[in-house]
Amino acid sequence: MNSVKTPQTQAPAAPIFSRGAGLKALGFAGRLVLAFIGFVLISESLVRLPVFNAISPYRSLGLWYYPFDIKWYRLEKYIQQHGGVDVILLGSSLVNTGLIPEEISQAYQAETGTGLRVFNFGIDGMTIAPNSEAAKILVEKYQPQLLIFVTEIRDYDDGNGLRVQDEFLTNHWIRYQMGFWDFNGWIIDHSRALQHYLVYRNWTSTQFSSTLNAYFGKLEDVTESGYEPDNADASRFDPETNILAPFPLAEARLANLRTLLGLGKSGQTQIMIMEMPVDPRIYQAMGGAAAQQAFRETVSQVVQEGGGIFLPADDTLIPVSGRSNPQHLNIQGAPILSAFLGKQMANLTLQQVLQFQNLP
Amino acid sequence: MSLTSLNFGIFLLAAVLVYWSGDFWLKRIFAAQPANATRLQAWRSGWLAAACMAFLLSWSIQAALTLLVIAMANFLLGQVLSKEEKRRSLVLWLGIGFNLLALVGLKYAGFYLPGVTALIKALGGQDSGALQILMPIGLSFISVQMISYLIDVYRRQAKPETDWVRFCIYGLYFPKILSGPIERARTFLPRLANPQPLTDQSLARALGLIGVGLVRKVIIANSLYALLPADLFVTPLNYPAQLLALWLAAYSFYLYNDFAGYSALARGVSGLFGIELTQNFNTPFAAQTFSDFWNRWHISLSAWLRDYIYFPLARALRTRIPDSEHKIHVILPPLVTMAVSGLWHGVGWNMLLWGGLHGVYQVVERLLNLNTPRVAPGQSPAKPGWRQRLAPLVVFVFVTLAWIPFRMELKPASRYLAGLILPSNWRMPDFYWLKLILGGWEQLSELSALNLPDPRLFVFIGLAFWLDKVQADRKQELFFLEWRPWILAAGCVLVLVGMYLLSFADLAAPFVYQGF
Repeated sequence: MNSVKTPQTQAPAAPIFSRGAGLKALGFAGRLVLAFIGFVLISESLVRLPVFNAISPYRSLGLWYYPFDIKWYRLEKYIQQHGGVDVILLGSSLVNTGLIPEEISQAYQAETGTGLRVFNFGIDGMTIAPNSEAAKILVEKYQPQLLIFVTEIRDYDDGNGLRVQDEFLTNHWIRYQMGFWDFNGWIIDHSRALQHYLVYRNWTSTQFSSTLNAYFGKLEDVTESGYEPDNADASRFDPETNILAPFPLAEARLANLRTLLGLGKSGQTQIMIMEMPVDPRIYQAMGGAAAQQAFRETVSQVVQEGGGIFLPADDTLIPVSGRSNPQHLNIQGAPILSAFLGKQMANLTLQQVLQFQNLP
Repeated sequence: MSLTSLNFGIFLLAAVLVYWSGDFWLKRIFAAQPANATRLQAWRSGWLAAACMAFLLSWSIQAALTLLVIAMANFLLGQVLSKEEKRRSLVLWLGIGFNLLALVGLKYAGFYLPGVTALIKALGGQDSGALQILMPIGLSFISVQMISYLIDVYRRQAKPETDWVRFCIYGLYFPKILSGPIERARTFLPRLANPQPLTDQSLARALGLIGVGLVRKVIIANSLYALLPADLFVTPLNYPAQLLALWLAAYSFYLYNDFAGYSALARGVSGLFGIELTQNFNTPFAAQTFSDFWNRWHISLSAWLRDYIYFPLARALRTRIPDSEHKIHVILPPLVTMAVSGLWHGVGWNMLLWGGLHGVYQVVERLLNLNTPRVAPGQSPAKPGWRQRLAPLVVFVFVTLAWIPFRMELKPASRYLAGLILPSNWRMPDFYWLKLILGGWEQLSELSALNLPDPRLFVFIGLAFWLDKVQADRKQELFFLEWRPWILAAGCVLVLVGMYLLSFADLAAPFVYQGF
C-alpha cells in the first residue's frame, strides 16, 4: 500500500523552511485554530441551552472522589437561590449525616429572631488534611461569615483517609484553586462544557455504570442544603466494634488545623471548631475518659492560639437511638445535634463572640 | 518517556528544531558559507545520537549503557568480519552467540535466576539480593537487528559501517527502540547517511502518521483495553462464552491497534528527521491466508524470520532431502520459524504454543493447497467471491484464538478455551432484567451481569474496522491527507479534543510490545 499518492497535477514539494511551505503551514495552522474556536463556541453554547440542561444538568470538577462534586454544585445552586451563604459546615461524613442546616437555622432564629443561610459541606472520608484546603477554596470563593469545622480524634490519625487525601490534593482543579499553575485545572474552571463531560469521563471504563449509579444515587439522597440523611437505626449499634486503637495526634494534622484557623485572620470569615459528640466508649483502648479529655484540651489550645472559637462536645447529648454507629448520627440524632449547635451559635451571638452582618 | 507523553512531545520538538537548524548553527560556529555537507551530516548524526542516548537515559542508565555496549560490540564485530578472511564463519557465530547471550541472559533472567539463586544457596552461599538483572527496553529488537547486520556483512550483502556514531544510531534509534520496526542495516544506514530534506509534503506525511498512530494507540487501543474486565484473563470462567468470544475479539483489535499505532508513531517521528522506517502493518485483518497475515502483521519481524530462519532452514533441508515433493519441506520450515517467533516474544510453553499454532495454521494451509494450480507471481488464484469474503473472517477467528496462549499462561489459557467451547457456558441473556432497566425500574450495574455484550466495545471496534477498511479500499494509509483543508482541520480538532477528553479517565495502558 502506498503512503501518499502524488498525482501529476500536485505542486512539487517545497522545502519546509521556504516561503511557500511556510505560508501553507501557516494557512493550515490558521484553519486549525479557527476550527478549534468554532468547536469551543458550539460546545459552550450547546451546554447552556435549557433543553441540554434538562437532559443532563450534572457537572463535575473531575475529582476522583465525586461526593465533593455533588456538594460543590449543590452549594452553587444554593447560593443562586438564596443570594449567598452565611454559614458553611465542613467536615467528614459525621457532618454530612449529622447536621441539618434548616434545623440549625430554626434553632438560631428562635433565640435571635434572625435566620441564617446554612449549608452542609461535609464529605464522607475527608479528614482535616484535605478539608483545610477545601476550606480555603470555600472561603475565598463564597466568603461565608462563619465556617464551622466539626472534628473528632480520627482527624489526627495520620494514617486515616490517605487515599481520599491524595486523590483530592492531586486533582487538577483543586491544584489550580490552591494557586498552582495547572493547565487542566484552568480549563476545567473555565469550561462549562468540560464540566458537563467530566461527569461521564469514565465512559470507557468497565465500572462506568456502577460509579454513575453511585453518583446519581448520592445526588438523589443529598438535600438542597447539603444534608444527607442516614436512615440506619440503632438496633445494630455496637460500640465494641468501633473501639479505636491507640495512636498519637499527628503534628501534620494539627498543622492542618492551624491552617484552617488562619483563614479567620482576615476578619471576613469567623472560624469555629466543634467537637463531634461520639460515644465515649470508643476511647476505651486509648485510656478512656482521660484520653478523650486530653484530646479535647489539645484541640482547644490550638484553636485558642489560632484565634478561633472552640465548641466542645456534650457527651450526654445524643441518645443511643440517635446513632447509627458510635461516631455517626442517624435521622433521629441529627436534629438533636443541629438544634444544639443552633442554640450555641445564638448564645455566642448574643454574647457578641460571634458576629453576623447584613443577614437577609 | 512514552511516545504518547507530553514530555516526549517537548523533547521531540527540541530535537527536530536543532536537527534541522544545523546549517544555521554551523555558520555561526565556523563562519562557513554555507556549511559543507560533511560537517552538516556530522552535526545531524551527532545530535541524533545524543537524542537517542537522552531518550534511553530517561528510562534508565543501565538500559542506556547496556544497549550502547551491545551496539559498540557489534560495530567492532562488523569491522572484524569485513577484514577477516579465514575465520569469518567463526567471527559470525561468535557475534550471533554474543547477541543471543545478551538476549537470553538479560531478557530471560526471571526464568533462570531463581534456579541460580537456589544453586548458590545449596552450595552454602547467601542470597544478598544482588543477583537481579533488569532487562533493558528494546533488547529483543536490537538483538535481532544486530544479528541481521552481522549476517548481511558476512554474506557481503551489506558494507560494514565505518562511522561508529551512525552505527550507534542504527542500534539505538529512539523512534523504533521500544517496539520496532526491525530495520535492516543495508537499507537503514544509507537512509541515515542521506536523510531526505523536510518538505511540506514529507512533513504532512510525518504528521499524518503521528496522527494515525495516536488515534490507534490512544483512542482505540487504550479504550478497548479499559473495557476488558480486570479478571478476564485470570478467572475467565466467571463469564459466559458469548462475552469471552467478544472480549477476545476486542483484545485482538486492541493488540493490533496498540502495536500498529506505535509503529505509525515511530514512522511519523522518524519522518520528521527525514529518515523513513519500514511499514510494519498493512491491514492484517484483510488477510486471505495465514501466510498473507504474516505479510501484513509485524512485517519487519516476518521478513527477518523469513530471511534468517525460514530460507536457510528450507535450503538446508533441500540439501539433505533433495526430493522436493517430500512433505517435510512443507511442514518443518514454517513450524520451526513460527516456534522461533513464539520464543522471541517470550520464554514459556504458552509462547511456544502460540508460535506453534501459527506454524500449524500455515502447514495445514499449504497441505490443503498442494494440488492448487500455481499462478504467476503477482497474480492471485481465482477464488469464488464468497470465499474471498469469508477467508479474512476465518483467518481472523483462528488468529484471535491463538492470542489465548499469547496472553495467558497455559492453565488460565485452557480455562479460557474451555469457557469458549463448553456448551454449558453459553448462557442466555437476561432479557427480563434488561426490560426492567430500560423501563427505569432498576439500576444498571454492568451489562455483562446480564450476559449481554457491552455496546461501547462496538464503538471502538467499529472505528478500528472503518480505519482499516478505508485504508485498504483506497490503498492509502494516509487517505485523509486528500481531504479538503477545512475538513481535515475539523477532523484534526476532533481527534485532538477526543484524545484530550479521554485523558481525563484512568485509561493508562502500556504498549504491549514494550517488554520485548
